[in-house]
Amino acid sequence: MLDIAFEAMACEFRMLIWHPDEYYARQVAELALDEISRLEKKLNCFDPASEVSYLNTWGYARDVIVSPELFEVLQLAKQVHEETGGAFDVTVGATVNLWRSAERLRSEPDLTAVKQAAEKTGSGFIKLNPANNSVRFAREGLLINLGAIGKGYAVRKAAQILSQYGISSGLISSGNSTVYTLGRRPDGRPWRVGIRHPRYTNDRLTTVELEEQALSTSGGLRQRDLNVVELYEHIIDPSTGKPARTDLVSASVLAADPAVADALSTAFYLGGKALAEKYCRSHEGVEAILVEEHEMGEYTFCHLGG
Amino acid sequence: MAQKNPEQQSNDVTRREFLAGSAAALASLASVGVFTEAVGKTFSKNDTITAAIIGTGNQGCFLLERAVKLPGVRFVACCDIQENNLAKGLSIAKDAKGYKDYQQVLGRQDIDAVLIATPLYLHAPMTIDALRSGKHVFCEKMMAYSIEDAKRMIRAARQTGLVLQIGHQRRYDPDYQHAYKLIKDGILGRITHVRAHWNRNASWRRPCPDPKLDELINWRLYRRCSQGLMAELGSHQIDVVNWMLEETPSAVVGVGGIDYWKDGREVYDNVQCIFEYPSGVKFIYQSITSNQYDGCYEQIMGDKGTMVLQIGKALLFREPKAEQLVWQDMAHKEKVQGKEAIVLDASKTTRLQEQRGEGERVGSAQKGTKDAVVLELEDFFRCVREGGQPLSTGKTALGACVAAIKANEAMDKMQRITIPREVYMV
Repeated sequence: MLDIAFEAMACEFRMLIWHPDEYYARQVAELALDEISRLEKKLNCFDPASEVSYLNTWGYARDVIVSPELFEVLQLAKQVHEETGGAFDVTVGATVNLWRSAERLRSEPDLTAVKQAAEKTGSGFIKLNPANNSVRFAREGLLINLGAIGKGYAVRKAAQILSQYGISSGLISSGNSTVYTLGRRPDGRPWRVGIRHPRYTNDRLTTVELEEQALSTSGGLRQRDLNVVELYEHIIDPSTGKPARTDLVSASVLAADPAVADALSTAFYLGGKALAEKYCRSHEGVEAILVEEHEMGEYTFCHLGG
Repeated sequence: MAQKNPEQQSNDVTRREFLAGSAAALASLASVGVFTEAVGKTFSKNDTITAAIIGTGNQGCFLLERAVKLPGVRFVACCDIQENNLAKGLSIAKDAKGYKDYQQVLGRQDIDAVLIATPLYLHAPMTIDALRSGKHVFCEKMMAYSIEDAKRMIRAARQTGLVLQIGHQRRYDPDYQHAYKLIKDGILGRITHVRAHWNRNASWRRPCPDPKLDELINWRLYRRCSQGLMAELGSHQIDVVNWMLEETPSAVVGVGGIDYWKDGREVYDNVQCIFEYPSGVKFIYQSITSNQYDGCYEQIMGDKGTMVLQIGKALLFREPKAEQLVWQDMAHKEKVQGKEAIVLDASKTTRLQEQRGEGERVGSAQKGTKDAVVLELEDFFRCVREGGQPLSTGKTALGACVAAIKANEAMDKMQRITIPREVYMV
């Protein structure tokens, strides 16, 4: 079993690959890791030289032709945006930036600016032209942040490389937030992945078995429990422009596609149980595990779909 | 990219050139006549250039993704003998038609320019064929498999009057250009030594399910197709050093080996060479594949300071006895291993804004900028459209090509190899 990890997209990617020829497995792993680095250079909006930064700068001024990968991510992001009634939105970039700068100064951002930025938000303003992979922003000041889908997409592309090169047993994870499994474990049993308890992080909330499936988790306690200045985690509610206020402590999603699982976990975390229930009912193959916090520090979780 | 037998191909060229050489003046007149028609096309500012790419593997797609964004350029053909590579190329250049035989691409009269990103040994035959069929050529680095091949490429470009650019993109990197200017101004004093390396911890081998295809997929590891680390990595950095020093090496010694990845590869998995320059500068180069601690950078050392150059960052360290620079107090500084470094920021210069700003001011100078590869492709298509020579020509690239090949020779023979000036003459 080859176990290999590396840093990318501000988290640790890890791969477990089983193959009789370990040297071959390592070559495949290197290729998959290269792919992740390549995607990072396209999708990271905090890198001024990335493709998405380029799009953010010029997207309103003119049509910008983008790579097939960035185009695909944007298509998927728009699709999930529509399917979740706007709960998932990659155009929160401007708002995220305001909160991030405020965090650096250990203060609150200007709430008028936040409100203005939130009004500019909306994946509907991203216009995609599949004829030549070009993108145009229909609103000035739109900024795309792919933080809630990019890692899942990278896991998807890395997994495609593994299976393309004949790896039939393996696991890929990004920063403990998205996991995808290929085939079964070498002993023939399905891969089992634990979901951590959001408060008692040494405890396992539950365990799920995955077969050619992804599991992704959003939320956790950082958003709610720590003091204000550290509260501005990554999840901004596109409808308010403010850090998420939700009934859920965390939302985990099982789906065939890691990119979809990644995006939906954020959407469900923000949209709450009602959205998750509605979505799982109408989308076969998507399951959700939601953790709710009650008074007196009591936690319950529910498993929807499946 | 139909693979002709490369030996046969180069024999062909040799024979043709031998004949030409026996009546040089006549031959060059004749070739002018032959190629006039092909070269005749001139562009006005708003014309679209019709382009093709030969070789859509990793590097080819990397170029193509950037090239399809350029205004006034339309890609109508992609060519690769591997199905999956071709499909990747066609997913980027959506209007393009796919080809497996590069001669068919060159046969298309509507194509003005080609990008070539194929294995090293194919650079010369493909570039020369493309030039002779009237196409401007951007060819990836290293320039050619052999010194003679490289010179043939230069001659073909000269005879046809078409653009030949080689993909040494650091020449287009604003930080490197800034560094070059400062060095010219004497900021390092007298340069005496250079150190550069490109160290990785990876096999350099791509997984290949069918051993019969290994030479195609892992061509970098086979001597018939590749000049190894010195060509694939070293030539980039040798080109930088040649550019900064404004000279080319006059001798080289080196030691290499296949010591870590004993997997049937034919090229060295670690190389260390010392180049001597006519001015007395010694340039120590290393590339290894089993430890990445030092990463990739070039360190230029003069009696007044040291410059450390890498993609995305350029640092200057002053020698203790060097005089204070006028702008030193204002410069952004950082500590590197206990030493104070001046961060050289090319984006502070107005030239960069002109170059990168696309005529519009950007709020933050850093955002939405173009990388060096976009800049080199822009230069290529500008030269195609308006005439003129790119920053990285066949002639500038020849220096790195000669040095890398001679370094391999030094390591193979375990000898000091001198490089007479004539070797660089075309």
